[in-house]
Amino acid sequence: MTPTKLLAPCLLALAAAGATTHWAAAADAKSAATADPLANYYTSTLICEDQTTKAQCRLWLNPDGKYFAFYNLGPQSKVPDINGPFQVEGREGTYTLRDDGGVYQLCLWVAAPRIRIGAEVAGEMYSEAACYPFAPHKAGDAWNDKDLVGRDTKFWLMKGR
Amino acid sequence: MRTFFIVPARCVAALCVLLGCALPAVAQQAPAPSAAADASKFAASSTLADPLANYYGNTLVCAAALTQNDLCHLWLYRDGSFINFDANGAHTGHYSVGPMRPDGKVPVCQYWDTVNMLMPAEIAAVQKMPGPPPGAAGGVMICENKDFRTTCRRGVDPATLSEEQKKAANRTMGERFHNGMCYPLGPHNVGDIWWETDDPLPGQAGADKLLLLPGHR
Repeated sequence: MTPTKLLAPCLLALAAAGATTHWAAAADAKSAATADPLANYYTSTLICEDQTTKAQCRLWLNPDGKYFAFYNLGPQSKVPDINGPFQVEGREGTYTLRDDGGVYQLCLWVAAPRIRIGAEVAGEMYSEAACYPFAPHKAGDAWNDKDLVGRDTKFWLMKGR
Repeated sequence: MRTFFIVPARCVAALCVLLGCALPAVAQQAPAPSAAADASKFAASSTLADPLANYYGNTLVCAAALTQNDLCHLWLYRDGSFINFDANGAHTGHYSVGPMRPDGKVPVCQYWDTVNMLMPAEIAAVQKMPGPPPGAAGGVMICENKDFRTTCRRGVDPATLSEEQKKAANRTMGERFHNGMCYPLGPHNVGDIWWETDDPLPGQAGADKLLLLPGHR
């Protein structure tokens, strides 16, 4: 018997195990994608409006763990210089989704260099490195909630970017 | 499309050895600082380095000439992509860079990935959309791209336009940027504030105010 023939059963078994693992991984990936609470956010824009200040936010959550937040704070009281104040601001960073038994929190880490922006000073949604209440939604949904300081905030999840 | 070369620092050092560091010597002999001198110095150094280097990782802000309110923020990335955002939303896209002009500016043409202008109806109903600049004549605006330069004409009588031009004149802002809008970016340092009078930037009084902020903001 040649070495190849001796090894053939082992190779077949390894191949079968590999295939099984591959199928299992594919199935896991499929169910994970189905169950991903963020799935609808990856190709959508989360828009919010602070009902007190009327500041608007836009949040992009990317599948690679990066986020981008943009703000329209409305006209400012003075002409901006290099340090502001700005009507429009943005920031970027990374996020994780904490799952405490089906209760989700979206935790944001601001990328360096971390600049204290006007939206953060005003306590607007998603402007600080913090964990925010999060609920899965589908594109087209609109809902009301409170921000971290208790202000009424309206949310829209709009398809597209 | 990009016509400059990004040269790693070690290559710059090697070239410096080969050229006997002629460029710094030229810079040292330059006359007293002036815009033209800065531009030529920038042009000389840009043959070895990326002329947009100071824009990466920082924020270019455009502001209205009269009110001086900030209107748009631009994050250029080294990989040829960008994010542009204003009061009405944010857009990803890619850009192409044209040949450096004699004044040291490089034309950067932005192409938005989508034509989307996402705005909830409730916000759109109360938010005043930006109108034409004060003193703008009636008619339509048409923007055309040629040789990395966008020229926008305002107050054009639609009756004078071809069918193709009428389609271009009826484009939304999203469609205009999806099809490409070119802006000249000059040699500037982080912290600079300057005025720009090139087409198609001028929105008020024939000029725009620009700021290059440190970091992404």
